[in-house]
Amino acid sequence: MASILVVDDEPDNFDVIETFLPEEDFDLHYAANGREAITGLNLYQPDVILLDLMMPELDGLEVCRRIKSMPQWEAVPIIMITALTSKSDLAKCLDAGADDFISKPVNRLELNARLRSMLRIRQQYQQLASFNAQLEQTVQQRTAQLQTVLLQDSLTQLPSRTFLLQRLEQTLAAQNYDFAVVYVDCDQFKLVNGSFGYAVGNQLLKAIAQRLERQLPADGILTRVGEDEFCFLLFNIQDEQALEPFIQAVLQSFTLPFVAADYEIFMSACLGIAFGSPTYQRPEVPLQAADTAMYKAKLRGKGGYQVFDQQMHLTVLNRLKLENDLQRAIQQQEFINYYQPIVQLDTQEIVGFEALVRWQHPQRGMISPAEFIPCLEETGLIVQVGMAVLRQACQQLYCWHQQGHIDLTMSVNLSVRQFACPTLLSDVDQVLAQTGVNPAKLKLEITESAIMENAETAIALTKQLRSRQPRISIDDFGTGYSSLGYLHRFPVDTLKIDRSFVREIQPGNRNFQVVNTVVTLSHQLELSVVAEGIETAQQLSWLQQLGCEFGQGYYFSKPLSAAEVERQFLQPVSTPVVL
Amino acid sequence: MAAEVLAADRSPNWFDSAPPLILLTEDNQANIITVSSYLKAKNYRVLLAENGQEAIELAKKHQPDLILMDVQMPGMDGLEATRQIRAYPALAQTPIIALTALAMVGDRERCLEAGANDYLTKPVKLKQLVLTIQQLLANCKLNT
Repeated sequence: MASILVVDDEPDNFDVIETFLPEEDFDLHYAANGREAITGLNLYQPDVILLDLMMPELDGLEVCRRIKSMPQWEAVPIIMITALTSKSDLAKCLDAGADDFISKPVNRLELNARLRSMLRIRQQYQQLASFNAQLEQTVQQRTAQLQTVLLQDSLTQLPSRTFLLQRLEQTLAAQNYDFAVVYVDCDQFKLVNGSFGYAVGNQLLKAIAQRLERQLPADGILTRVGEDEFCFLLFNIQDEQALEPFIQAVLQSFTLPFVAADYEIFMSACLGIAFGSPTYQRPEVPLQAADTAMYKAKLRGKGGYQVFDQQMHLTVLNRLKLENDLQRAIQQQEFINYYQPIVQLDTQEIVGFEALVRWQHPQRGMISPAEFIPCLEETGLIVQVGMAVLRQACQQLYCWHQQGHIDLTMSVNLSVRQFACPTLLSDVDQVLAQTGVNPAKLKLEITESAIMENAETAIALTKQLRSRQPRISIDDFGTGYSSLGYLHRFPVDTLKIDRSFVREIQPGNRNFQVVNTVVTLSHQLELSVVAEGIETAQQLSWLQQLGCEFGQGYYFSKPLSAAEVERQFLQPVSTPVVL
Repeated sequence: MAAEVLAADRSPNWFDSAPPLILLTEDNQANIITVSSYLKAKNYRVLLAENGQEAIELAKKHQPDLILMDVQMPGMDGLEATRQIRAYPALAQTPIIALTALAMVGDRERCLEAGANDYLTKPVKLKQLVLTIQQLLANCKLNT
């Protein structure tokens, strides 16, 4: 039954309304003035309010305004009952928030019709509100579920890495440094998954979790932080000595085999330990420290442990510093290209250059690629830097072509990470368009490992690259596991023989045979061959004997800046240059 | 809520003396404010009791001109309260209107048996309520 509140200083007016409305449909309430009406709203719980306009003290407009300003009642429709029916009076009612009005004297049909129409609105509103409430509840439930998923590992039911980081954050915030993080990593766990399957692997992880849990002190926490990685967070640990019995107990607990799905599996683990320190600002840092120490322990063999120490700290710091430096170097454009000539071996003419990145550090000067390329690879920054190298190389080549050296080629390396980058094709397109370079003179060098990681994808991607005209070279050929079965399917133009084969080349030895085979193979597949790392006249002559067409190395020239290349090799004439 | 005398806002227009005092016995808050607001607007004074025991005490103390008695209340119900009120000589003639939520066969008899003068079923039409009050008060006046 709908609850109707009638607010009117004249009870006789209420009597009229009471007479007009069928009593079985409405629960009628009465308030003789605005103040009583407003204070009684919680008791009336009205669905519609019929409000007299002209009342002593608070008039209807003011009562209407006040009710509409109360969040829990603003949605209840208010019908003003008024003898004043001028347009401006009605406008005032609407201004005050009224939803409808009925003129006096009240007519039975009109009253019923307007009341029912307002009740329909009220019901729709309530339906919406209840949907909203249900939705809100569902969202809360889902959020709670997500929170559980986030904070708990579903396989072992142990707290998750996220949970561990939260606790570490709280601990650091409380300036409590008497803690120890003990990282536990199972030795060669992948072998279990590989030979017994994931189901058994999962059983084993559960068994390991249970056994580790038995070593857990009352105030400690055990979490699963990775596939086969667990991490203890222990409190009130004064020093390494105090922790020693715990470490031994954990290592000991791996002595007996684990039972997983009817198998008895022997498993060992390495431990990495980091003690709390005020130098730790972020919760990830002690975790990273324990992880680093664990890797150190792994290097010495199975079942060992290592406490994170100052030297490791320095290594980590240096690494962090390098990462920061690299970020800055990208912004400041500190990477520049050097170019090493590629020479046709029989004529010793320069046919092109390989672009090689160098880092011009503002304090440290030129930094060797060996120092920063691995870090670029691991952080993924190589994608950005690699593109910058490609752009610079294309600009340079365009410039040299303009100067008349129209046959020069430019080789640019594409790293594994770049090769796997989904924007590779569009990035290359963009560079080609922006620089206006002749794409047929561009050679993209891809390492064997990049190709073999996912051969089918690599074939498709290489085809797409080549459809844009650049030539494709396989770099460091012979060092990886190139499948000859795939080689003929690759739209490749050139193989580059790795420097390691060139360095010790001697007639009759193994390297000689390898180079010989590669050259023969290339010619049969109609590929050209470039030998890398030629340092002596002797090496050059062996390679010439074997029919290798092209080469590069310090014997001809080390990598040089563009200006130096121009000074030494590119006289402003358009005739080919002979060394 | 403590019982209180809710004084009428306006002076009576058809009584020579003070406005009649009505004792409203009711436990439903929404009904309390609706009925008392209406009665006050109709120039009655209203006194409030929220259960049977309270009704007896207030009736003895204030000698109301008429009692509205809700039958269904927790604790002592309205019928028992009516019986006990009737046991006091000073209240033996005070008009009592019983209010029942559900009209059941035999309700009227049980109310009248307990000592009520009249009975109305909820939801009570307020106009009907005041007419009944007026009638009973007029009878009283005639009788005295």
